[in-house]
Amino acid sequence: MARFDPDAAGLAAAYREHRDWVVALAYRMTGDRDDALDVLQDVFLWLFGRVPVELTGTLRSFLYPAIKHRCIDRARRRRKVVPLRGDLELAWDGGLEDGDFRRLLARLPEEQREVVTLRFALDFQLDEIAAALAIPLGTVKSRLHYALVALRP
Amino acid sequence: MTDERDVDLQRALALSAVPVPPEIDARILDAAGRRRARRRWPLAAAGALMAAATALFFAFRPAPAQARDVNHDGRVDVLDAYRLARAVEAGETAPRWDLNRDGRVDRADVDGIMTALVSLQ
Repeated sequence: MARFDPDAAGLAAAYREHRDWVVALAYRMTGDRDDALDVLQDVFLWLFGRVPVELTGTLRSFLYPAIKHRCIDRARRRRKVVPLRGDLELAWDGGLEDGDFRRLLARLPEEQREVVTLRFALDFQLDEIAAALAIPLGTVKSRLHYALVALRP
Repeated sequence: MTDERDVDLQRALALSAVPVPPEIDARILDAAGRRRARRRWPLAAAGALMAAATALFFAFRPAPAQARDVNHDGRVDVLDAYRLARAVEAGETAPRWDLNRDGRVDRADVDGIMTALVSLQ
């Protein structure tokens, strides 16, 4: 458990360090650049309002659920995306090129697609994924395993 | 964990860069600065409150036992309360009788001695 309680310069540095992946992930999830920029602002203003915070993982694993929930809210509000399995309504394909891989990815269950995206798009470590999704490490490994099996040509 | 298939996945899933307009950067960075400033004032307020409480405590703290020994016999007992009650009746106004330091010599000063006598401490 690490305490995140930086001064103003530290908050600014955290923003600069995490800005690009936050907005890119929000774009991937919503498929809309304006929504992604709104999510970027919402997430960091929320973070600044919450410090000091106790981190169970890394800062990015702490930020991930906040990004995801804001993307779901925005996607629902704008009704721009096709609902997927379960109650998630994330696009998950902002910026993805059309092609076989996209079709394969779309066939994965939502929970596997999320783990694959965190691992390969964001380069999260397995324990970071576990912290971000609040699931056991073994569950992360099994979801990733089954996803890779399904994606295998 | 990293093999050719992983590299392909990383390439296929790579996030598209989304340029962030400078005004959004400025807004968020400004919020970071303001947030830190907001977090300072509660500390300053707590410090001021603590200082005020300390000053009030010393201004209105109960008279020490030595001051309650109004007949100077080395003990604080009912005789001190009696002596002070006589002083109140006589209309004494000298500061040495004002044990609770409220600016008046009255029954409250006598009560202070009696309360100290029946205290369990």
